[in-house]
Amino acid sequence: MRILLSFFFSLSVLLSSLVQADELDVLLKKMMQASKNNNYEGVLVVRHADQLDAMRVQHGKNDKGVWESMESLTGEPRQVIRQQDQVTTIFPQRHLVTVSHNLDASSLHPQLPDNIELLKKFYKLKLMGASRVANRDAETLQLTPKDQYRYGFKFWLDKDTGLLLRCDLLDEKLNVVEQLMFSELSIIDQLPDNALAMDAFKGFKQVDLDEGRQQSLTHQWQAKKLPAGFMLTRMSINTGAQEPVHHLVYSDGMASVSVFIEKHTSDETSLMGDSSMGAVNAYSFHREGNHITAIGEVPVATVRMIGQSVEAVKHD
Amino acid sequence: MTNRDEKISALLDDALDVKELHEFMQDLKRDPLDDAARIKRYRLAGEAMRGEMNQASFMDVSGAVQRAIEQEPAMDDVAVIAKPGVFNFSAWLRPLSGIAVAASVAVVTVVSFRSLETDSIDNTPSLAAQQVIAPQPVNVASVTPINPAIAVNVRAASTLDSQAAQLRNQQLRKYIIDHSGYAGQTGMQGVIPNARVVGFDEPAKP
Repeated sequence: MRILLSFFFSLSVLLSSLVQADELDVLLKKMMQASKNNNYEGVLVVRHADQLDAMRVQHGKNDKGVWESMESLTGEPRQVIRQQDQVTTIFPQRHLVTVSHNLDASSLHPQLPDNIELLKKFYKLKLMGASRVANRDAETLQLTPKDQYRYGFKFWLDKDTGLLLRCDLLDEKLNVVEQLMFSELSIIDQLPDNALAMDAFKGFKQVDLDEGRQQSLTHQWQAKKLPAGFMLTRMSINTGAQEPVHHLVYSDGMASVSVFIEKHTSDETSLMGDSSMGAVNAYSFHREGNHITAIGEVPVATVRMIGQSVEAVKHD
Repeated sequence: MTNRDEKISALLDDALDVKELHEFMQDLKRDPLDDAARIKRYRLAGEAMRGEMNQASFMDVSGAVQRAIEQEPAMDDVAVIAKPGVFNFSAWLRPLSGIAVAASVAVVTVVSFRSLETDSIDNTPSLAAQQVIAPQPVNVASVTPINPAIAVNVRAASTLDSQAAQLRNQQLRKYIIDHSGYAGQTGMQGVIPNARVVGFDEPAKP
């Protein structure tokens, strides 16, 4: 009898974990689709370090594809508009517009790795129950990293649509290092036509931040040491600067680290050692005449490890 | 704060007249090492107050000051009975000493962060490395004594330092903006990478 009870108990635990795993997969896929398929607007509050910012967010679809606009409600007025691969930033007080492009036209919205199983290799996923954010019912999901080289995530997803309502970035002791949360959110059928109107900024000075930037097709630099699951996802070279700047991006699908390599010009004005801004850590040093900086929303140990392992690729 | 402290502070604020400057220079010859350390501390504290250091230092300073204040006994807990008609010096001194402790911790922290910023490559990465911004004692012996002849250039040097710090901040911002442009496409965090950039006060390249 005891053996039978024990068997049924084990079976129920197994079934429960299978059901949860299935729910998790469904929830993650729903989250991924939600950011593509919904039109919404709301107010997003961002807290990192001792800084608190608020911004109005609009997200929609038009004939050119998906776009989103973020307008700061705190500090200097500024608005960032992303449409396809173009990022436009407007600084009304300075009469300045900066434009930059991502070098390939992949989806505006980040995609969950196709293989969710891969993600599960590096994070423990757990459903944390129901909650409420921005006056909407939410499901809570926690991703705890399996090593010390990445931060953890806690997501609050809209129960109806799967939209990300709140995100906490957690360190290894589960302390919150960054928080983003919609304080209000409306999901709407169609955003107004004038949502992306740029007429008001026609006389502004326009600066192209990408002048000279091009996709790098040959490996000139590489990081020899990466945390498990990180892989090279982007590679570019900006020749518009005084000296070419090589930019490598490594990611595990959730977290990402950029490495910038440029000629070392000045001890006085170059970043050195550890720096941070909110949840973003950077580590800089110079080696053999090059200034190398690794930067990303990962623990400082990770940017140090990746940065220090950067080497020039020898082509025979 | 001693008279010497006040003079150094006034020197950095460009508030000494010719006579006071002369007296200051005479005094400087007596103990240049001590004065060099003081000048460096005041300059860094001044930079921090003017918002010329990076955010990590602010985080640390405010945290350290808060911790120092928390460690001080609450005023309600201090059993000081004022006698009528007698000026109770210790009752005034205690809150002042609290401020002094907090300020000293802040200064030490600022100096510690500064040294971190210039650290060269560390060894193996570890989680302990995240805690490097904890306050560390100042190594006064490592402060180079100032030659009295160039003491008057301290202010100019300070300005140059803050300009360099500003350039470093700009460089950090530019890296974060460039990084966010691509990070947004590799994770699944939706608006988060862009939201980080919107939070910055300065354009990447004016």
